[in-house]
Amino acid sequence: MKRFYYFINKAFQNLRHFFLINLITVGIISLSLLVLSTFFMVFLNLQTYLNKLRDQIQVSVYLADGNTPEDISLIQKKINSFPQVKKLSLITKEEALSFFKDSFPGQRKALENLKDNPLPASLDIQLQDEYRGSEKVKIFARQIKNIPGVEDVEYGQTWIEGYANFLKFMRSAALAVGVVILLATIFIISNTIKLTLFARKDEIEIMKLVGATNFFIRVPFFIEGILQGLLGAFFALMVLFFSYQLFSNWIGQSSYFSLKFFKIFFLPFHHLLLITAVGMITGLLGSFFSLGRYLKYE
Amino acid sequence: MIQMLHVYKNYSPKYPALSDISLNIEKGEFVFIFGPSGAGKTTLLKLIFGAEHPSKGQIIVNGMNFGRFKKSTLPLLRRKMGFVFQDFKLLNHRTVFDNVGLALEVVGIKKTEIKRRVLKVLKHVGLSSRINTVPLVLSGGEQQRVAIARAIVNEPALLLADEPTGNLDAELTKEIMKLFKIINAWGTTIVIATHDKNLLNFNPTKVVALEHGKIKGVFVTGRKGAEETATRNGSIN
Ligand SMILES: Nc1ncnc2c1ncn2[C@@H]1O[C@H](COP(=O)(O)OP(=O)(O)OP(=O)(O)O)[C@@H](O)[C@H]1O
Ligand SMILES: [Mg+2]
Repeated sequence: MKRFYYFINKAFQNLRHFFLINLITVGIISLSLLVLSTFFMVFLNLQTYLNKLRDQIQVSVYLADGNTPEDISLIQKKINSFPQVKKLSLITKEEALSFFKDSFPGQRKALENLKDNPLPASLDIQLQDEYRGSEKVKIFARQIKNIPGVEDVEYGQTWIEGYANFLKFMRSAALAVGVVILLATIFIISNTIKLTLFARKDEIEIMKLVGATNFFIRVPFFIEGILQGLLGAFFALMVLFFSYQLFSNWIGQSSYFSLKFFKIFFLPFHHLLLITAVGMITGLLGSFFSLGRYLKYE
Repeated sequence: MIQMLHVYKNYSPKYPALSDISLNIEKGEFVFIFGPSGAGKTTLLKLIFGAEHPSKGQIIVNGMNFGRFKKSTLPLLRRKMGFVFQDFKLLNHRTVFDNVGLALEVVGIKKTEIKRRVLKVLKHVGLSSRINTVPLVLSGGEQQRVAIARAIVNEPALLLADEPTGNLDAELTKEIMKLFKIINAWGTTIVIATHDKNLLNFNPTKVVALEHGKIKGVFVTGRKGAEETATRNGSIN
């Protein structure tokens, strides 16, 4: 325990003693982690945004004009019996018309001159989460269309397929980019630490000459590496947070972008922990691998 | 204390730094390795210290065979040795106190004890007033004395010194040799490498003459001058 206290003390002493070189190391670690966490944040936001879009998918079932109210409630019952259906709401011809009028106030005059209401009654279906895949929606739509009294089914066919492909592409692209950035981060951090160790190889050599064990030399360097990673992560996340604040303020005031149902969010807590852990672990591994060569038996 | 049996050291295959060195140094002896520049003195000390490895032959230090033991025991062996390096090997940005204390710190000795012992040894080498100075601004002779202080602060069983008076004037040389004599009287075995003939006159002592990597002879010198007692290429017994 006393040994441990000594090692911690020594690590802090070294951080102070090699202040400039440590500052540079922490700066580089910060930059690497900033890139990594920015990527994380953009990806998470984009994914959440796209998922929200998907949640808005609904299937519209247009009913033939000849249906009596009894027919319609029969159709409703039939559709409700499908496991895919989460929520079903009926929009009568009259509702459809007034909805249309509200949406296109310029056309109101023209509509008032009409004898008959040209808009069909429809059923809006919200799907259960697990049936929102493009193939599944397609199958479901086909089944619904076969119900007598249903004239047409619409679900944004082309859009949903494009979306599914895009999401698939984005996931693999994000994975690839994420892995590359992570590897680059580890590479940069361990090389930076290697450089700082090079500046201290005399110290390591002399410690060995006066009888220090490898363990004794290593531990303070490991602690130092972990502290560098921790500090690097801290600064990176601070910068990210303030940039996020600035950006979301700007978005909020901007008239070009209005994401009505979506608010950009900061990295959730467990991701902050993850970034910090990446910093600390790469700091440790960086020290570990770069020390190896200076501690070889001569 | 030190046994070497038919030891060879080649840094490059063509030009051997040491060849067929056999010698035996007893516990408590005071020995000079004497020879011109390039004779192989530093190499010999480094072999004893485990900082270089023989190309051939056996080296046994303090009962441990360098060829046999595990790597991890080398630090433990070194704690019983002190080494004054020809180029000092000081940490130039640490204070004199830290430099000397390092040899105790790596053993895990308590701070208060380190302080006590470092202050004592710095007094011995006459550097009490330079405790908080960094070696960078010290004179060559002062740096040399810091190196000596670091080598003796852990009261080693074996002290190896490579030209320990190379940067000192006659007066300081006398002081340092006196110090070595005191340490020797405590029971520490001392091996000093030098090319300075004058040094040999300070003590009645054994001298191993080295030339071109070979032992030319072993002498015992006294205040009255040198007299040869051992044979060429022989060992001290
Ligand atoms: N690391 C090395 N690599 C290659 N050759 C070396 C190395 N160290 C020493 N030598 C060679 O080995 C020979 C002996 O060198 P050493 O340093 O032992 O001599 P020395 O007696 O200590 O000389 P000096 O009095 O100048 O310090 C020299 O010819 C030197 O060039
Ligand atoms: Mg030499």
